[in-house]
Parts: sequence; structure tokens; C-alpha cells
Amino acid sequence: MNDPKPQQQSQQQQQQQQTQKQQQQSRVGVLLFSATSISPDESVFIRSGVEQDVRNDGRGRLDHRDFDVELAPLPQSNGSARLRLGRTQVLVGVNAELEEPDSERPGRGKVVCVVKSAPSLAGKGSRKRDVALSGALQQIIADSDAIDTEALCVIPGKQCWVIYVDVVVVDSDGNVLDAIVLAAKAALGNTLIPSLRVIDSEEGDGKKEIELSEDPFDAQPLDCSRLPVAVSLTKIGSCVVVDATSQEEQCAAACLTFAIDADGNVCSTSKTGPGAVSPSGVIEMLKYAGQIAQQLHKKISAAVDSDSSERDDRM
Amino acid sequence: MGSKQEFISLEGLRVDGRRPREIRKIKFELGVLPRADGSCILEQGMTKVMVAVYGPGEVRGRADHGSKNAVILVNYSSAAFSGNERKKKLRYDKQQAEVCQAVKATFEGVILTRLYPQSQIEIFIEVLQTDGNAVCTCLNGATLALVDAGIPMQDYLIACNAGYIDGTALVDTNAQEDLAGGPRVPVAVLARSQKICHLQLDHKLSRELFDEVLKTAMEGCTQIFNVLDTQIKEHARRQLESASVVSST
Repeated sequence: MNDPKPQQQSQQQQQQQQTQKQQQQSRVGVLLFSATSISPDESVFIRSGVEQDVRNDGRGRLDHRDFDVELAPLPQSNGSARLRLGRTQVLVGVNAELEEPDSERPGRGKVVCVVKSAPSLAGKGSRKRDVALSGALQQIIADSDAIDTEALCVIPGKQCWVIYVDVVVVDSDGNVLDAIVLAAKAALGNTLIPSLRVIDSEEGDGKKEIELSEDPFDAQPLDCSRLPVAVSLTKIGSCVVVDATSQEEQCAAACLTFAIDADGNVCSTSKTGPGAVSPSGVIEMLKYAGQIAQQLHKKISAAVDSDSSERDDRM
Repeated sequence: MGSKQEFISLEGLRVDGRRPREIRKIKFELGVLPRADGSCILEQGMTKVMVAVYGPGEVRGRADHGSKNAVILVNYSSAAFSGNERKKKLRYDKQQAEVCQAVKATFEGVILTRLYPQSQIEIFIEVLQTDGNAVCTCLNGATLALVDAGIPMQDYLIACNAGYIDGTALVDTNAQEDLAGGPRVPVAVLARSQKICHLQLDHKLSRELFDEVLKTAMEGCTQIFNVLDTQIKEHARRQLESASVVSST
């Protein structure tokens, strides 16, 4: 296509870096699900493609795959969503349980996120992966205070709502963390918490009791307006791609994940992988992430809003 | 306890509005996991399971090398959000042992394992939501996933259960009816020959009642088979049409 010489030179450099990276590949992100590892030649092919803005599936570097979300596939849970991003598929179930609050935070409820791989993806390293993803999801959704935990308090010091966000990674083809965060946002968006009243105990000893509403449709949605979406940018060679497939993740030197809310604010960041990114590189990645986050927010909110208006019509 | 729950109303309807011999609504989707050789998501009422099949492929365990027939491996797990209460700890599950045992033993006889010596077929079952009768739904899901994978079997293996509450035999019990106690007979049959491949009973039952309950369960299997067969053939026809093997007229 272009002048072959400059390409050859950069290829030589790349092949030198190649052998170094091969050794470090197993450390590039514990978040990898590599069913089959790729060969060095495939790695070079992917890298050159990325440089020319043509990835293996024809996308440009900053093109995100289209995603498909199904809301409330699990009617027995308080909220649920099934999301497909290319061949990556995740299923999220949200359940609200009444429990005792933490002793250090008696006036607040909790949000607990747990990620598990489906048995077909389980294998060596799957426990580490699950723990890493659970931690990442917990940081993005719960620790960022995106959900008002004070509103989840029922009886201070005694009872609070605990929102359990359980994720099952059904299938993986890269960018699992972003898919999980999107699916969790959709599931929390269609979660309904049963209404309850706190009344004085009948025994008149000053204790309080909880009365759950008898009407199964008497329930409140959660305020998810501050929930962010995650955009992961993967550095391959000297270029940056968005929404990497699992093959591309195996060629990556580093990956930066930005959690960005609907107003464009960065809620949290994390970097995995041994490769280094220059500060100007980070600023540039953040710019791309902001644009993509906007598109993702729009699509997810549209899906959640249309589902909740359908649900209101039905009731 | 408070007032006794009525399981059969005066009009003869069950707690979910079904008749005693009516099975729950069935919905399934094949090929949900493009990387698996076969997969399906099956819903029977509110019980929803996802089954993936990988195989026939190379045998992994050293102990199974050199076997004359294909080895069937079964993996089972149920999601934390599957039950009524969110499951906190992944403790040893009685249901896990039951399902793995049932699926492995039954399918070893149904899959034509002699066609694949020194290979393994792995079946992964994930229970997404349970509302009673998970074992039978898992067996049916495994049949569908194996059909999707194109693995040859003697016949469809269809499972259904029947219980006996308030003097009536009820087919395809849900969780509420399961909690009522009483005998429960899950049975799995080969659809066309009606041969029984799996049968269980954990309760005392007189011989006459056993005949009635078993017959009810097997009729349930026939009903389920009719639904699955029609939809699978429709699915196959659509696939052949899209591959232009069959014309769409």
C-alpha cells in the first residue's frame, strides 16, 4: 500500500520489543480471558493493522462495537440485564436484601458487587480474574458513591438495604470490564426496591419494626443518574484502540479504564499492564474516552427509559 | 402455621393458574454462545437455565485416556441471583450433586459415545433462575444444547416431574408446590420409545398412586417433547433457509 521501507524499519523495532513483550504477556492485565493464545505473527499482523487504522474486524481504532441489551430477563430478581458486546456476553442480577449495616456506617446501606465466570469459562486463573473484576466493578459502582447509600438506610444502626449486584460472565471476547459496567448500569436502572414503612413496635418498648408493602407492584426505582460507564483504552504498539477484542488484548502493552458519568466527569481510573503511557498520551486517551462515554450513556439510558415506560404502561 | 394454603382451587386451578395436567410455558433459544459447540437458554415457567456443550474434543484428564467411548463431563453452577434469597456462600450444594449425577449417568446412555473413542464431551450447566423442578429443566436444556452441537443421540431425552398434593397428581411443579411437601417423581424418558432413563422418588407413595403419578409425569414429558420438537424443526428450517439449502416457499 504505502512506501514499504518505513514499515519494514518499524517492524524490526517491533519484533525486538516483541520478544520482551511475549515474556510479559501473561501479566498484561489479570482481566484477560484468553481461550486460545495468539502467535507472534498474528500479533505483528494485529499491530500493523492497528497502526493503519484497520483492525481485524474492520473497525477503526476508535470505533466501539455495537451492543445489545435485554432488560429484566430474570423477573425473580429485583433488577437484571443481559448485555452482548460482540461475542462478549454478561448477565447481571440485582437483589436487595435487608441486613444489618456496617458498624462504622450505621446510617448507610451498602452496594456489593460480585463477578463470577460461567463454568464454561472457568479454568486456570479464573478465580484471580473474578476477584479482580469484582474489585474493579466495586470501585466503579460502589466506592464512587454513585448510588446514594444514605437513601438505603431503613433503621439507623439496625437495618438497611444491601444491594447485591451479581454478575455472570457468560462469554468473553475482550473488553469484559466495560461490558460488565454497562450491564450493571442497565440492571440497576430497572431495579425496583419494595416499599416499606418503619413503625413503632406493638410492644411499646421503643423498638421499631419494618412493614413491607403488601402490594407486589409497590416499589421504587433506584436513583442511577450518577452511575458512570467505563471506557477502556488499550495501548497496542504506539497506538490506542477502544473496545479491544481478546486477541487485541493479548497484543496490548497497557490498558487504561476511565469511568465517566453522564455529565462527562471522571469518576475513577485504573491502569493495568506493565507498559508505560506518557502524560500527554493519557490526556489524549481521556479525550477519546469522553466522546465514547457520551455515546454509551445515550444508548443505555434510552434502553432503560423505554423499558421503564413500557413497564409503567403495563402496570 | 397460619391458614393452610390451597393448592387446588375450587375451579380446579393451581396456584399459578394452570390445570393439574398442564405443563409450564416453554421458551428456548439455541446457539446463544457462539464459541461453544452447542448452547441454549431454556425457560420452563420461571425456571431458567443456560447449558453449553463443548465437544467432542481431546480428552484432558489422564485417567480417561484410552477409553473406548467418549467421556461425558458435567459442570454445574447456580448463579447467586438464582434463588429466592441471594446465595451468599458457594457451599456444597445438594442440588449440584443431584444434577451432575443425573445428567452424566443419563446422557452416557443416550449419547452415542461409541462413535467418539478417546474423546470427551463437556456439558456446562448454569442455573440462572429457579422456580422449582430445576433438575428436569437442566436435563431438557442439556438435550437442546447437544442437539445444537450436532452430537448424535439415540433420541431426545425429555424430563418432567409430577407431584401429588391435595389428592391430585400435578405435573411440572413450581417452587411453591415443591414446598408443600409430598411425593415428587422426576422422570426422564427417550421421547419416541418412551423408555425411562432417569427416575427418582424421595417420599413414601402407595403403588396405585405411584402408577398415577408416574403416568402423569410421562404425559408431561410427551407434552414437552411436542413443544420442543416443533420449535427445533422450525429453528433448523430457518437455518437451512438462511444457508439457501432449502427454499423459503
